[in-house]
Amino acid sequence: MKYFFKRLLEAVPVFLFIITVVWAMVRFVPGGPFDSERPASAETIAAMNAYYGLDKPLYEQYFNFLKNLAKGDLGPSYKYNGWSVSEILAEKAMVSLQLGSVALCIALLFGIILGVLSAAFRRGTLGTAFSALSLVGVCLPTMVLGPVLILLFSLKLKIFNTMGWNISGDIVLPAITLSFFYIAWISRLTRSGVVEELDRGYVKTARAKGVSESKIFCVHILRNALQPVVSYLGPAAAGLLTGSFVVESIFQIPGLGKFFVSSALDNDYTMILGCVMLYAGFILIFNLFSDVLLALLNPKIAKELKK
Amino acid sequence: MTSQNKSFWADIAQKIYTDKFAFVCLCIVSIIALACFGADFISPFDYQTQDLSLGLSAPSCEHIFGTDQLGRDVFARVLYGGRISFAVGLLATFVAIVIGVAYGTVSAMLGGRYDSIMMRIVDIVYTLPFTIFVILLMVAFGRSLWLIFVAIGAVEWLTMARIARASALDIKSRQFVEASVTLGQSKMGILFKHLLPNMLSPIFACAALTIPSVMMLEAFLSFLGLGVQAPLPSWGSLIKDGAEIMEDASWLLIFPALFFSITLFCLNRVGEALSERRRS
Amino acid sequence: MSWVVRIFICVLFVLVSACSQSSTPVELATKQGILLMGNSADPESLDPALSTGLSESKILRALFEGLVRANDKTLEVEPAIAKSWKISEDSKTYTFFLDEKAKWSDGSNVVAGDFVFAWRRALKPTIAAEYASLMYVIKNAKAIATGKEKDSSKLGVKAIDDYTLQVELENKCPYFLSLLYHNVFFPLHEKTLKKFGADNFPNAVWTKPENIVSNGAFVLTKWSINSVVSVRRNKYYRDCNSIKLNGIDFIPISNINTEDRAFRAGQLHMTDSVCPHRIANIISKTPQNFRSDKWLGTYYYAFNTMRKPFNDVRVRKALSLVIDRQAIIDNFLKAKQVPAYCLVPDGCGGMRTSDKILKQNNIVLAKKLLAEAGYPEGKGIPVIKITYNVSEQHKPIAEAIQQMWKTHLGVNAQLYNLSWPAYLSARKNKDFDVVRASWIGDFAEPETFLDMFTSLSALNHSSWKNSKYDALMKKSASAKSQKERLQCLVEAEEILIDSAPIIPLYFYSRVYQILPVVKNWNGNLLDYRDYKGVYLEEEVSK
Repeated sequence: MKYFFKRLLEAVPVFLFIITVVWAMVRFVPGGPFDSERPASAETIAAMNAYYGLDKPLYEQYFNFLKNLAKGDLGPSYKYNGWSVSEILAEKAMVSLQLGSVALCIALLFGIILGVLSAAFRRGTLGTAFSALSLVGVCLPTMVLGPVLILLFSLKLKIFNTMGWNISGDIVLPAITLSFFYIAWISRLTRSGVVEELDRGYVKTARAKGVSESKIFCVHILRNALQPVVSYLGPAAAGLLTGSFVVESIFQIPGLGKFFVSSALDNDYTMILGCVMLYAGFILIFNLFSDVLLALLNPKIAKELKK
Repeated sequence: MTSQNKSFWADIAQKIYTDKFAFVCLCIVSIIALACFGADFISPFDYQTQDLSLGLSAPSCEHIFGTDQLGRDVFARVLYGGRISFAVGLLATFVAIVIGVAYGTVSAMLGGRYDSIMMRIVDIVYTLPFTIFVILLMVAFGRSLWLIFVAIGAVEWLTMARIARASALDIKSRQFVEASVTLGQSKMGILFKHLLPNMLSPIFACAALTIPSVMMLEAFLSFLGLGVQAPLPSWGSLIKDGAEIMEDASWLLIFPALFFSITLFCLNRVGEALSERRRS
Repeated sequence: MSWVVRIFICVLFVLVSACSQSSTPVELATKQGILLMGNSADPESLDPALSTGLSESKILRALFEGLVRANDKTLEVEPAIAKSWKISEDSKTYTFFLDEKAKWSDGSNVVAGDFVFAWRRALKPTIAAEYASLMYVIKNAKAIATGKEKDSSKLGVKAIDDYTLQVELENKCPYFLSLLYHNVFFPLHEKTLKKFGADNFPNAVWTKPENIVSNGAFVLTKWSINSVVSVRRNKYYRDCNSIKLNGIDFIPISNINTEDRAFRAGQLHMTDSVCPHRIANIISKTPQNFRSDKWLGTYYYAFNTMRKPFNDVRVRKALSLVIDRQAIIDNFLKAKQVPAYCLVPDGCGGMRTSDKILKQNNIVLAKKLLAEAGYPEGKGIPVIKITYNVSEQHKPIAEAIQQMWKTHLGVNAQLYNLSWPAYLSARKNKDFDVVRASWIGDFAEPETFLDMFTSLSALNHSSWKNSKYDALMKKSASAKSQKERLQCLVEAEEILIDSAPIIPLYFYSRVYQILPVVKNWNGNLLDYRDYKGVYLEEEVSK
């Protein structure tokens, strides 16, 4: 528990540092947030800047920003008039949470299975085949995989909708598409973990003692071999939850990924900061979680942390 | 050549040799890379010469991969596109290696408080959503090809820094380094003489895995329309265009996607083989 | 390992529930009388005074109703909230008599004061409404918008009583009534806006579904960014019988291929646009779904006439003359768009394109002009930077033009594609050689195009100036007869095209797919419609 709070406290200056850097950075990008096809008069731009407080000196803007942040207010979105950044992000985070967690489950399931299989048969052609299969995810771009899945399952077989986020079935194709990349990583980590453990002495000892193969595998080997997978879960979960722009664009899913790209392309200053903070927050939280998980898996690490 | 260097190459050769599949992959990548960089000699066409009268035409004897909607030869475009993708992959990885290794080694050499602060910084940068960063960089500083390398390299150096630090710490604690310290060699001397050559192996393995992920990132930027400037092709931009037209002109997707996926697959396989620890 | 089993069951359940879906979303929606419509983007604002885009305008026309409406075929002026009007002898004073039956969605009456409030608000400098400039024909409007006149009651709009509105114009404006189609002229519910602090500031919280009060045929029921904007029947609408739809769902799909797949899978009644390379396929397989309507818009390239060598009219003309517009249309656009050699689409507001304008490419003449300008065979011309914004449509056109310049004139060009804000800022700061641009008319009169190239216009990216042109535009505004006005405009366009600050490329068409169950959907030049008369008819199964 104490460790938990210590980590959280440590995160605060990190957080502040990040948002300061990004805050400064967005102001150097050409084009203001209020430019549009019909060039607004100087008065119009000035009025907009005044309304959003962008006419004040930079340091004052910065302090106002921090002041609002302390109140939990991320400010209004410059692009979506009438919407506040926190409002949009909260709504979209729900969608991304659902999609991301399903994708993560799929990735874990298939990743671990493939990893274990390719480790188990590592000396034969079968093992090579399994590890090759697990690599498919990292070499197939999502922008190809997504449309191919849609053509197959939606337009030919008519099982799923091609796009949208209305019925429960809409989650299947995007979640599969999203999970492909992570399957590859997880199976790679599992495989190297398992291979390493197989050569350890304790496995031989256990075998000699007559412990059943399946018990050795599940209780001893997997438990140790999955540690790298667990520590990878932090960034993977954050990545999945903040969505993938490509998948969202292809399947028209109202998730967070769109805002990570469009805010930067549209100079929506407040939204950029909101996204950065959200992502950093996710990473910090999930890293914390995966540390805790690691400690549960491995008492040694837990002891170290307590120190 | 120092003795450490020799063992490094021998190590790589042995790893590749023992893993036949990885060896085949290495050969395939080399052939593709050679073809891409030698595109001028292989392809009878130029990547940008248009022939509007041809329009979209399916693969034929003259244009073995067909032509795109501007009547440009797809074979030529795939090869030239591969050149860009390889260049982006290699150069960005190089940038990542230079920054990462320098940072990681310095951190390991300094040790103590400096080390923990420097690694803390890496942790911080890790928590930044790099998509936003790359996009802001691309938008802010115009759109030159060089910038793509630097922008991607600048986000990929983190892993490299961690690996470099870990192996530097490992080597630092070995006996021969300790021996040279007692013999009175300067820190810089130790760095160049022992650390770097010995770190090559893990860095090489990491690089083999970084190149494909950089190529993937380039494809993502192309999806956003922020990749290389047209009419210059890259695999990413070819695949993006091809994916949009796949139902009507499948050859525009199949060929670049095939080259891209095979290359990525092989590079990953080689990287995995290299990062496998030597078993006794 | 029980979680594995659980997930597996979940997945199975999802699969089964998905498979059990018997009819497509379109079939369901047709039964309910709800139109599923692809919209190219999310609305950035649903405040009629502040919204600028086409995707917003489509929604606003369902939510609000102005004084007059456009006939959805001919764009002729028809009564809406104003059931009749009177124009004074000098054509400078308009008196509108409002429909007493007109109601807001909260049940209160729409009165003349709501228009006065909305128009004064749009002109407030603190509101910063981009389209307030359309109001500058009204007396004192410009002075108020630019802050020269502080008293907003000086605006030439008066509510004589609750149902009589009087508008005084600064100058005669023959097309004033058709300006009123635009959403910036829509009335606003004063009480609601004041409640949400929107009367003085561009704060659009009042447009959220739970807050908004509107006066159109529909009310906003749902607005979820990147997902859907739903409008449903407004029970207080004055002319309820003419509305046959029960609602419309605007689905913002920015990825054109996603939209096409959704349409094919029966998730949309109609798309916003069609990917050009799908067109041939659609025409051969489902011709009944394909539509291409003429649209009041011009796609063009503009030169930076301040830069060498584009300050030389011969260079500009030469570069324009070699472009084979027809080839661009046939190869990339594919929907039989009309090639453009001038700015104003032929027949817009009754204006015919002058015969003096050359309507084809002429490579020989182009070479000659370039040689005369001192660049024989393109020698000495620096590499031209073509700036455009990120979009799949712009890229192949730019590539084709680059090639045409190279083969015919020996001029080298470099493409430079920028993100939207960067592109806008490059254009504003004149940081370009040649820039892609396009203009969709705000109203169906030539002035919406030709006013862009007057010396003071902010839309004149080319920095081209011509005093004769300015004089003609001024003269046309005060012309006594329609014929004289059009004559001035034709002459002005001749001057513009003769000095070639721009390369017109093609005139837009609205290209989209629509299912035959959508009835009475008429195309018009402005793509304006208030969804009156549109209905859905279930197909009788054979």
